[in-house]
Amino acid sequence: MNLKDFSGSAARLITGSAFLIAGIEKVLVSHDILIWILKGLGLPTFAAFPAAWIFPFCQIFFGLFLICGLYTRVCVLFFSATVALEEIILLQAWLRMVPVAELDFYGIFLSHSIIWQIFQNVMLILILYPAFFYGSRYTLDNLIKSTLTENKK
Amino acid sequence: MKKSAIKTVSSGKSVKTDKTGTAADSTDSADIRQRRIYNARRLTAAVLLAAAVSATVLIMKLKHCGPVMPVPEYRTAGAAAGQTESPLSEIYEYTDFACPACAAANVQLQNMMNTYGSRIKLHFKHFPLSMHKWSGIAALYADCAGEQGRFFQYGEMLFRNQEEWADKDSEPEEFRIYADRLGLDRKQMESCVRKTENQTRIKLEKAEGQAKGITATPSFFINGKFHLGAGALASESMRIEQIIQAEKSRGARK
Repeated sequence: MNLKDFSGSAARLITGSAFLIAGIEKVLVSHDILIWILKGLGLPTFAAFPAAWIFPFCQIFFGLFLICGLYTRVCVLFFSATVALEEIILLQAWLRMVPVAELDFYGIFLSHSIIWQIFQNVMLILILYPAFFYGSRYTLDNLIKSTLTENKK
Repeated sequence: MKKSAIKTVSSGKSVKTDKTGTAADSTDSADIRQRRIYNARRLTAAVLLAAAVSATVLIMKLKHCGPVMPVPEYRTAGAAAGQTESPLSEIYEYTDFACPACAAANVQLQNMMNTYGSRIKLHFKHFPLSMHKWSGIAALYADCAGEQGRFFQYGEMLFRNQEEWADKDSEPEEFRIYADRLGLDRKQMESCVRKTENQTRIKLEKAEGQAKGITATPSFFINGKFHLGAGALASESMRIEQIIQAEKSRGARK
């Protein structure tokens, strides 16, 4: 395994796990709470409601696909777009100086550390880069392809 | 030697074929077939993974896993941070001030706290049932009393005098009377009750309870395990007592 393959696979695992866990947390928390968190960020009701229902499941499915290496590039593009969108939402919340809710398995906290969250997202986008370019080795996609090639032989 | 000819296929590509025109065509169609099988298998894998993770998440939801909203400091009691003895039990109580069973459970819980207070960490959560007209407002008043440091005292008054206010047609005056009896600042109380964030917190706490599978009160999460009704408190008291006795006998042997 060369360094590029290693970085690609590691990036896939790290980002995939992060999104999978984030999605599971959002599904396990009440939708009312999630809508409240999204509204707190400044999202209008018409956007917060569907986002609270659809987005967590997208995170779970695409996160798992990314870990397994299924539709890798599609997943990376999806996550890059959503993280970029989140950055915009966080930036406007930071400019308006509103506290945002942080959600993890230990609880939901109102936090003013938006800069930290923005930084985390920048790191995620950076990690997604090797996942996109070098994350195609050791994937389920490759495994499926190899079974077909063997059949061909 | 085989002669080859150029043949234009439907895709517009020119491919070399032999005299019969079949070899390259068959390779092409085999490739397309392989591609289709590959896509179908990928899709099947995706569907299977999605189904597996959905089932896992559903089980987690049924087991009441997931994040918890923090309880304001004035609604926690018992074991303090940094104390030498470690807490033996963490209790989340979801309750409704107008519910008679909750009033009975409150007495039981108070006895438990009086005996093992330093070994229990209690978190009080509101779960006002919609069939009780004034329990949401009562919860709001209790929280506002809490902001002045008298949450548990106010809560006890609400429980003890349930029949005075629970069935009133208009907003009970008792809420203010109890506040006066406890010597709370009436003005501060009124402005606190009107604050939307305080109302939202109670609404969200109920939503959280519903997400955790609570349908009736009183409900408890004792060390993460769900219990409906106060029955579990007695067995938890016995468990704590046994641990304390074991600790004592270990200490005596040393």
